[in-house]
Amino acid sequence: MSIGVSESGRYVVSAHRDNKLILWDLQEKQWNTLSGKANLYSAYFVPGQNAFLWQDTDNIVTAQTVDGDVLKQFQHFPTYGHVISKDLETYLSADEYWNVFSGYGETKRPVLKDGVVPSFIGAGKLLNLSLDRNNTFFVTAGFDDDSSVIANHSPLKSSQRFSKYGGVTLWNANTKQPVAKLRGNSSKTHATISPDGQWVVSGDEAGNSITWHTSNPQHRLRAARYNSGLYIDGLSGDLPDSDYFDKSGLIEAPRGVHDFTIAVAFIHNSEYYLRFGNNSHFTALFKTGSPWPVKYLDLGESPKLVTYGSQYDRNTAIATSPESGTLVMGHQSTGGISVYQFDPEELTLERAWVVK
Amino acid sequence: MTLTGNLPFSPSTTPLGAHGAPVCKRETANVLLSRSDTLGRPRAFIDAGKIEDESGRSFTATLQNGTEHTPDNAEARFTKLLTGNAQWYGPEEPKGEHLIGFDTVSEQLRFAPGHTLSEGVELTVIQGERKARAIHLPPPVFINLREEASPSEDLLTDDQLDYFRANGNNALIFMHGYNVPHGEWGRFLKYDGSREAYHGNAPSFAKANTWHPNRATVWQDTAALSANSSVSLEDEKLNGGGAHNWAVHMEYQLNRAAGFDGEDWMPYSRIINISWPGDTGSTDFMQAELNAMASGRRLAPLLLQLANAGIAINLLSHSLGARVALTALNIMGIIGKRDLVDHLFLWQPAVADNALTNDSSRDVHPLGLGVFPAAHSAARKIVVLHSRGDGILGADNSEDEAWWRKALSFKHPVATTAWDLATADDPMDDVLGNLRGAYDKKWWTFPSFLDNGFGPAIEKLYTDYLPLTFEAWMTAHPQRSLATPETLKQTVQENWTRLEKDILTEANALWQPCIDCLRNGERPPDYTLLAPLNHQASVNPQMAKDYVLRLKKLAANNWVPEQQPRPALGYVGLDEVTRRGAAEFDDFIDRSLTDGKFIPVDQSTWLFSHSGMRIPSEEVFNRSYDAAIMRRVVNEGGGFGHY
Repeated sequence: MSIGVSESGRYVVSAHRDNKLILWDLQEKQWNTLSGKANLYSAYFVPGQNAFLWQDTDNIVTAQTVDGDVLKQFQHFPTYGHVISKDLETYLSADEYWNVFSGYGETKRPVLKDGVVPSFIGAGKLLNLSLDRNNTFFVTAGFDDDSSVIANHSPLKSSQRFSKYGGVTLWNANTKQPVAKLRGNSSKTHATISPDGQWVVSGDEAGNSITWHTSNPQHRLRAARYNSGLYIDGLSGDLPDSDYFDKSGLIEAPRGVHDFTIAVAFIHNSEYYLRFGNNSHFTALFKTGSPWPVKYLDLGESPKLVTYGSQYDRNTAIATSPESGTLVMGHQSTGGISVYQFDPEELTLERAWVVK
Repeated sequence: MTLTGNLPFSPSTTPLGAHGAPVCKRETANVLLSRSDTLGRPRAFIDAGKIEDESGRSFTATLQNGTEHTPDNAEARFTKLLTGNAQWYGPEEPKGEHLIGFDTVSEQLRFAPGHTLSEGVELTVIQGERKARAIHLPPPVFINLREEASPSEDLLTDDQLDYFRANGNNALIFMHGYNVPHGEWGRFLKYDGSREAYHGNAPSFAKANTWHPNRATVWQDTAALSANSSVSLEDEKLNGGGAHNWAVHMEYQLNRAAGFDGEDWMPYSRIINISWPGDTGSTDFMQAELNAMASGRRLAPLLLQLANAGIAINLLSHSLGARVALTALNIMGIIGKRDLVDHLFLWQPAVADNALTNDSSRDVHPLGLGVFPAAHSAARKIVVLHSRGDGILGADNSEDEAWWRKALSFKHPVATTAWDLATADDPMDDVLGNLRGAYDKKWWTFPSFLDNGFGPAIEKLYTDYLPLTFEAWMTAHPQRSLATPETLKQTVQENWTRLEKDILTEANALWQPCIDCLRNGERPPDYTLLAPLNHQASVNPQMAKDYVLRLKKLAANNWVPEQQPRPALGYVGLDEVTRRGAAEFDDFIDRSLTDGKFIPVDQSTWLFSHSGMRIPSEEVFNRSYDAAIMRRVVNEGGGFGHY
């Protein structure tokens, strides 16, 4: 399942395993099936517009308004994730080999094409794409880390087997060149860029979550682990275990909360983000740039959400509108969704609608 | 030219020579054959086979030494062959090498292993001397820890060491899992063109398959060969059994993951295979654990040998092979060998989920063999590939249901009820959540408690000191119940006194020699009475006393442990020891996840059996072999061969 939420928080678009494309109206609390031929990974809401992006199984990508007006349409390879800018001018897409392209048709250009491992086939998840609202940066996030430096490895060196850009990478949205490799994650990794383009936040299968400021991408800001606290980098290896962690800002965590992260998503502009743990119905609220969880929010035990079952490949079924504070999550086994509303004053998350 | 015009044929102006001359007068020539491996290194001949020349005559060779830079018998000279088409029949070398190439000045032929056994290699004998080079895959590398062997036999030969140095200066060591016998190599199928004559006949008239006597030390595609055969082929016939079957499968898949295309065998790289005695029977898990630790002890000097030669090391273990690997690394860590190996890959490890902790006080195993507190320091990275789809390590695979239920019902009736509940309509996660609380993890009974538990292995270990429990004696010898309880108690007490004394004697005797041997890169002596502590580099007197206390406590409880075992690392991964609120939260493991030392790979959505990596699905291949293992080895480690 892939989901997109309109910036206004009124509309949701979702693409499902049975190829249905559904448009949900959260205000009217009703939904409409627009197509039975949708690419599962292609539902995306155009930022700042009541328009969304999707691809059908004939490989036609369409940007259309919620009223059905077609704004843009073109033939394209089967996408495994794509994003588009507000002005519909910047279009980025990934294929099953985690190659990334900008543009389409005559203007299609490879951005990343440097090896076939890892890939969607090879990592069991999408290469997550995230574009900021100002078209300054975009982020790719996939699997593990890579210690090589950008200067030594072109992202277009396609002759090698193993990609050097499978981890979290910050890219310049205008030049389409890599700006920085954002290191520190392990295994399946998700990352997203803040709407204002100033922050990148990641979360991974080993329970690491890291924030970088895009003006200083070499500086890594770890998020605290829920039980042990904030890891202090750079200490020697001979100290007692507890010495490596700063617990000073920890709040009491509920039983069942889990560091192992499936997805991260901004929930209030660029100021607050949520972190979703594997096999857990809790999400942790963080203030951007601060390592400490502000609050743990219960998403509800039933119906069971997409965060259960080690389904790192379904982190696209968690989507937000940071402008309106809307969170939409798919359910684990059904095609239903749960809709939540975030209150930035009370720091609460209210489940507003459940469709089983 | 009137005379010429009258002739009935046109005369030839070609002088007599290579063609048209009588056989007895055609030129003869020589063939100078040399041999190399896939790295181009000269190899000696033991038997250079034979060449059949165009007349059908067979020639054998004279072996000679070549130059001062080549080994003895590096060249084979065949003399006085008729020029023209010939066929070389080269025998497979006894060490398990396979011909994969044949180079002359004008031609470079390439073959799949075993391909030339039936038909030989075509060769054109030219005037003077034809020089040709036969290219063989290096022999497989197989360390047999099942037999008593001198310490040097647990190490690589100089030639093997040179191979790994020359082939990328790296080596990957694989350790198979529990319940794998030693087995034998497979064979190559003999190609029989006459089979075509039976086309259209009923299957019962089909000719039976025949096999070359040569050992097949590389993987063969059973499915593809079956499709071309008149009868279905068994994997074991082609790819061998037991540890040999695992060896060829794993080696092939690892090469494939590194980029091997299945056609060009020149880059194909050998791995180091460890065969250890894990096949103690499906109900004697603890004995297999003891064997694993004794084997890990023998593996330690091999790691030192490779490291001292400057060769990058990656370890890959399956199932209880993890205990072999972790024992070796624990010993290396204890003697201060930091980051000796690039990666340890634990694939479905059959050890406790907190086995990697650095804190031995977290060991819930009653005899103290559940954790390897120093292993982490000997590896730069440890990757844990785990899956809740593993029905051997946990209770999730319906194919294993019969075995599992049968085993559980014998020992844990409550767990059987839990199983019935678990297989009801509720989603698995819901039921498991309840079970964790309600049954205090009895649900996660580890195989070592099935049927026999600890008793048999311990009593086998201490045969000379039995009985060690009063109840055991009464149960085992009801006909001797006439003996007075007081006498029996005295006997038991005397046995304990003797055992304790002998254990302490063993500890005192071996403590320093163990350290000395390891510091010299030699195999440390084995503990026998202290066998459950063979994962330690050495056992000092205090450790021995602590062990005796644990043993007494276990005996007093009739070999039934008080504490439930930890779930298997290969089943739950590092989930249970790092989750908020977990009783066994482990600070060190949590830290090691943070600094990237430990890397979990949750395969629950694509690996659905304990041994699914031996014959992998495409998903297991792409996700586990390629992305999780080989990408790390190649990009972040010392590499795999020359890929």
